[in-house]
This record gives sequence, C-alpha cells and structure tokens, in this order.
Amino acid sequence: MGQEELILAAAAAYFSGKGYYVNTNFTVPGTQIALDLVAVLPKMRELKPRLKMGFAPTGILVHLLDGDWIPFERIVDKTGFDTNFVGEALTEAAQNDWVEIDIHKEAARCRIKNYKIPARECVLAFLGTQNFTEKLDTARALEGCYHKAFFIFPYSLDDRTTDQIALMGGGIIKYHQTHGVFQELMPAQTFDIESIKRYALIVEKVLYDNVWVMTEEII
Amino acid sequence: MSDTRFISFSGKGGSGKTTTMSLFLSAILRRNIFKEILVIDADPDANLSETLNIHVETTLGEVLDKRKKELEGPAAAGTKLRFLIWDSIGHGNGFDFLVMGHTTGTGCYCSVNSVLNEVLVETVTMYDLVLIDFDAGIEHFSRRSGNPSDTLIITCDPSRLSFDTAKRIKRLIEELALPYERQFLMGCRFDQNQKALFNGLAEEVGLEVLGMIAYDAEIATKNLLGEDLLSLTPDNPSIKTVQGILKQLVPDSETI
Ligand SMILES: Nc1ncnc2c1ncn2[C@@H]1O[C@H](COP(=O)(O)OP(=O)(O)OP(=O)(O)O)[C@@H](O)[C@H]1O
Ligand SMILES: [Mg+2]
Repeated sequence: MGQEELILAAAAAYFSGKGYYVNTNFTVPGTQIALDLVAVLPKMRELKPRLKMGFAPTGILVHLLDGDWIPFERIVDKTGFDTNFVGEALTEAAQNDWVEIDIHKEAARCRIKNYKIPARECVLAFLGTQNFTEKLDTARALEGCYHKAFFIFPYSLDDRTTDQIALMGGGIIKYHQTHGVFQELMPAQTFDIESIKRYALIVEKVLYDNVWVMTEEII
Repeated sequence: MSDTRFISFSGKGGSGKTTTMSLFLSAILRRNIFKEILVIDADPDANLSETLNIHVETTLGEVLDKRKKELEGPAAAGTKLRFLIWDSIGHGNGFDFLVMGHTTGTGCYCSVNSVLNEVLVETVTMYDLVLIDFDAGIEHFSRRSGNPSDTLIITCDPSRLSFDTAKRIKRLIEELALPYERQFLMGCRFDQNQKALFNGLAEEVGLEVLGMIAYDAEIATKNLLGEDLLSLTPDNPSIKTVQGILKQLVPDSETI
C-alpha cells in the first residue's frame, strides 16, 4: 500500500468509527467527478424503508424530485437511458411505492411519492498531498451537494495552503501516522444543501453500498 | 462534526422519570430545536407508550430472544440482528423511539449483546438528541465516551427515599466513572411551598438543582385517564417550567 492509500484507509476507519457510512475512491454518479472519501450519516427513519422497499432507483428518481407530474418521455430524455430500462425501473419503483404512475390515453406520466433524502449529514474528505489544487476545485464545484469538506494532511501546512482551504470553507485535519490520530486543526464551514439532486445521488449510493456490506454480518 | 446530545433521566421508582422526560420531549418538540430525536425507554417496566401516545410493536429484549433462538437452531437463517434492531425502532410524531424491555431466555447472550452494543452506538449517532428513561440502575448503559453536553437528570419526589436513591446514583456515577458530564436534581410532585425544603435536601445530596415541577392536577388526570403528556394545554404550568429549564440546558446558540 502506498502512503496515500494508507492515509485514506485510516481516514475511512476514522469516519466509520464515528458512525458515518463511508465510501472511498468514490465517483459521483452520472459524472466523472472523483472524490477521495465520502462520509454520510444516515437517518434511521429513511434508511429503514429502503431495506423493505429496496433502495430508490435514484438515477431516475432525481429527475422527479421537483415534485410534479412528469411525462415519461421527458424522464427518458433526462436520464439518457434506454426507454425499456426506464420503463421497467419506474414500474418497479411504483410497486415499491416510491412513485405513482398515471396512464392516460397511452401517455404515461410519473410523480414521486414520499421520497425523502435518507441522510442527516454528508462530509467530503480529500487527501491534500496529491492534486491539491484540483481537489480544491472539486470541493468548490460541488458546493451545495454536501455539508462539510475536509482536507487531510500528514504534515503541518503553510499559511498559503491554509488560506486557500479556509477561503473555500473547508476544514483541515492533520493525520499523525505514528499514533493513528486525526486532529481537526481547522473546523469546516457547514454548507446548506442547494443541489438536492446531486446530494441525493451521492448519499443514496453510499448508503446502499454500506448496507450491502452489513448484510454479510453473521449474527 | 455533528455530535449527538444525550439527556438521561434516572431516580427512584415512581419518582417521576417518565413524566419528566415526556415533559422535556413535549417542550423540545414545541420549540422545534432538534431534527432527529430518539427516545429510549430503558426501564424494564416500560410505560412510555402511554405518556407519549405511541404503539410499541416490539422491544429490544424480544428481538434479542428471537435472534438468539435462531442462531442456536440448525440453520442460522433469518434476518440479521442489526436489521431486527432497526426494525424495533418505532416512529412517533416528530421523534423515534426504542423500548429496551428485557430478555427472557436462559444461557449466554454474549454474542447478541456484543452486536447490540455495537449497533446501538452506531444508531444513536444518527440522531441529534437522545432522551433516555432509565430505571434507578444506570450502569447497564455505559457508552464509549462522554461528551460535554451529556446530561443526567435525577428525579426526586417528596420522599426521603428518593433522595437516598439520588445519593446512590451519584456515587455509582463516580465509582464507575460513567460519562455524564452534567448531573442535576429535579423535584417532582412537590408542593410549591416545599421549595426551600427541596433545595435543602438537594444540597445534602450534593447535586445542582435543575428545577422543581409542582404537583400538577392535569398530569395526574391524564395519567388516570391513560392519556399522553404531549397534548398538555399550552399554558400548563409544568410545561412552562420545563420550557424554562430547557432554555438553560440548551441555549438557543446550541440548537440546530
Ligand atoms: N408533577 C406531577 N404532578 C402530578 N402527578 C405526577 C407528577 N409527576 C409524576 N406524577 C405521577 O406520579 C406517578 C409516577 O410518575 P412516573 O411514572 O413519571 O414515575 P417513574 O419514575 O417513571 O416511575 P417508574 O419507576 O415506575 O418508571 C405517575 O402516576 C405520574 O402521573
Ligand atoms: Mg417510568
């Protein structure tokens, strides 16, 4: 394992030890945007039904989030998926009570039913040791899709780097490898969620993957 | 990072734990200061369902019994304990709840208990606030770490014995180094004229006084009729008292 991977693994353990559901080396669904680490705190009330009903087909549901009836063709257009695939996914989603489908004179339209975002908090963490500027840009670009962003360094920072992070509202965590300690040196600003769609895509994926891992438990 | 806040209630049997906790929940919901709230009934003789008007489908004790039995069977199939625990969490109007209950089987619960502890620690982090109604023995619920806002409220009714119990609980916390950073005494069912007497006895116990809820006919009537305490009239004096206390305990600057 390289140094970077080691720190990332330790950071994942750090966040999951605090109760977060974590994915490392995460690609934001539907994009090429790569994140070192995403940590999500679920909401029990929303997490539970996902086990019963199946996880929401978020890639399709996000296009219904605005709340009104949306014609089937428009959903297909927006997702860019194949018509049959979207049709099947929506039929299943209707069976699982995520959406309602209304068919009128052979034209179908859909509306989201009781969808709520299943997360209490979403935190991004970036290793600052590699591609720092790029990651800073990513954090900036995704603003409104997460609550907090942290940059992790295994060493102390110069003022310039600190300022750059502070300016985008990020926090700084110093990792002391010998002791396995993560020190929050600069708190992160808490952002409001403004891009519900992308936020939903991120947290649903992280929760889904983590619950899947939990099903392997023996007891 | 977002920390979960704990407010726990303990005290002699019948001293007013459940009533006081329900009043706190009611005041919290009225002020709308926490988004995700979990109420835990950790008293084996749970009676929270009445004071909070909730329907308890299953207790943690029942879930542990069920899973233990399954695991002892020939094919250890069935739902994993974690998900059974999730299932045992009920949903009220503005809060979730979990009733601990008790196990009834014999033999070793070590394996299921270790998972239970693990899952409980993870579960509480999903909430902004956790309210816990204990019996007098708070030692069963040790947590991994204390946090500066963790609060224990010990209730005392107008009986000598309840102050002795309060002393015992305080000693227990010291001996076991339980992680309650803030501990208070709270009077329940006293007469308004007994304030000085209550304060004197509290001083003997050596705990800071949080306040006193006087005997309240509306509460007593609701109890007799089996009605919940979330629907007290807005100008109910006990609710008013608790609202004041809550402002002290959770100032506006600390709300979410
Ligand atoms: N301020 C009050 N005014 C009138 N009645 C009260 C008051 N506080 C509590 N009571 C009544 O006292 C009784 C005991 O209260 P409560 O059930 O809250 O105590 P508890 O400590 O939870 O008891 P247990 O140990 O059995 O769980 C109940 O009948 C309740 O209605
Ligand atoms: Mg009680």
